[in-house]
Amino acid sequence: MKRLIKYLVLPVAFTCCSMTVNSPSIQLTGLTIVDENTETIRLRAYMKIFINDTSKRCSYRYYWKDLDNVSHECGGDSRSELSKTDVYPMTKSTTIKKSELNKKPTITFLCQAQVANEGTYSISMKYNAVGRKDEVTIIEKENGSKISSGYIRESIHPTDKSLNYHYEDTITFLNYEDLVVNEFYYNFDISRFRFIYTNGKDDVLKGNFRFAFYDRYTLFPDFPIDDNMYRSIPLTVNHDQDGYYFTFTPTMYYDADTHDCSLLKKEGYLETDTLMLPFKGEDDLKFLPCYLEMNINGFIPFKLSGTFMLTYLKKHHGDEEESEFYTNIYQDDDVNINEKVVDVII
Amino acid sequence: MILVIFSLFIISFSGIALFSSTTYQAVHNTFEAMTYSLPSIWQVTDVIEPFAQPYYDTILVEETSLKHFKDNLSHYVKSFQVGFYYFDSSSLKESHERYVTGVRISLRAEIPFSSDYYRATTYEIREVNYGC
Repeated sequence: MKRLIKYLVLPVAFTCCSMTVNSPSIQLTGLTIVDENTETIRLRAYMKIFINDTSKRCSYRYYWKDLDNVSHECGGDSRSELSKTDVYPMTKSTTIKKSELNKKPTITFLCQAQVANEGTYSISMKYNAVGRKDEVTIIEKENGSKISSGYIRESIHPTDKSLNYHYEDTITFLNYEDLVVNEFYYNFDISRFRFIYTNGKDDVLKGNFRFAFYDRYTLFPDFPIDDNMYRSIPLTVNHDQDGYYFTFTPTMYYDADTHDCSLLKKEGYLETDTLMLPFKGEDDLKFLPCYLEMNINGFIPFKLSGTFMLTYLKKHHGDEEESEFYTNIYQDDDVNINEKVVDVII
Repeated sequence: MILVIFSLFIISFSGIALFSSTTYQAVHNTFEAMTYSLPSIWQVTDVIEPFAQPYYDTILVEETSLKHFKDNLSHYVKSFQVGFYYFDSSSLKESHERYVTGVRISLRAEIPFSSDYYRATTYEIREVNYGC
């Protein structure tokens, strides 16, 4: 009987368990304050969710921490279950009464998504109750190509030195929300994004940095692309009295009419410091996933991920009441002999 | 001895049944998830003429759906087949253009110890007909 358990029951049980553990996955890509008035703050989290196994329990919750590191639940819909229909990409938001924040000068908002037996993914944002909302810490630890678990590195408020907090190797990001500039068109002004490196002993200026974005529309054919359809641009880090900031390493050029951006100096193109978003395909650019990859010698390489939602849709379709078009979806199991078949071997 | 052999048979059979049903369900859920997540990404407007009707971009259709299946099926199957068929939703005729109004995507995957999974979903962009 012992042999039976050892050679059959245990392997079968192990196989069955390991099969079901790694199916669902959640990735938090952003947390931001979308609305604020004198009484309330509205938080919104951006998530990527892949749910293969609906038997797994997936949930998320919003909460905030005070300076004593004590957690407090946010009011309203701060805790919820995720369902099969909540698939990538999605956003969830909650409203918080400012009176709940106990007038703390600086707090940290967090959104935490959990998958049973898989892990917890967290994202945080530092908020100054005086009114600034420009201090954001969003760090996801990469484990190979797949994010297996998220974690938070707390950042200190640079002006709160009297609080005597000691966090080693801390990077505080500033102006995260201002990375995308919306004037007459959208563009990425990478120099607006800044960070402060405190308590670190490593030379940040010698690090390797790059900005990458998912180019599903082939908007930037001149920029190098990787297997995951991300185009990347090397960054140069600079330093001034306000901290570190980036500039794009290669010289870029753009066309003033179409805002087509290129690494090549084509006829009529002008030099630019920012990454323009061309007009072509702009009508459907709802989400633009991108990340900053930072590799400082001696520091754990990490990616600062975000998904920018670009809202200049010209023509809605589907759910809009005014739409002239709708999508008709139906399923069948008939074989169509005319279809183009792609074989995929994993 | 007979009891041991019988127990072995029952346990093996249960394990195989659990394995194939889990794999089948995972493949099916992955295929179903495509309906909720990807069609909005495929749609483009203003590509042929300004303020005209939306279309499906066949390059986006193939690129995103193949990535979706690769990302989500890698734990369950070793290979699979994806079929693409494009057509005009008004005339129902096959189309070989980049921008189309009808897309049919099928997924075929071999499930160990079970029958193959095969399912197809058709997406059509249609104009609202208010009738009279």
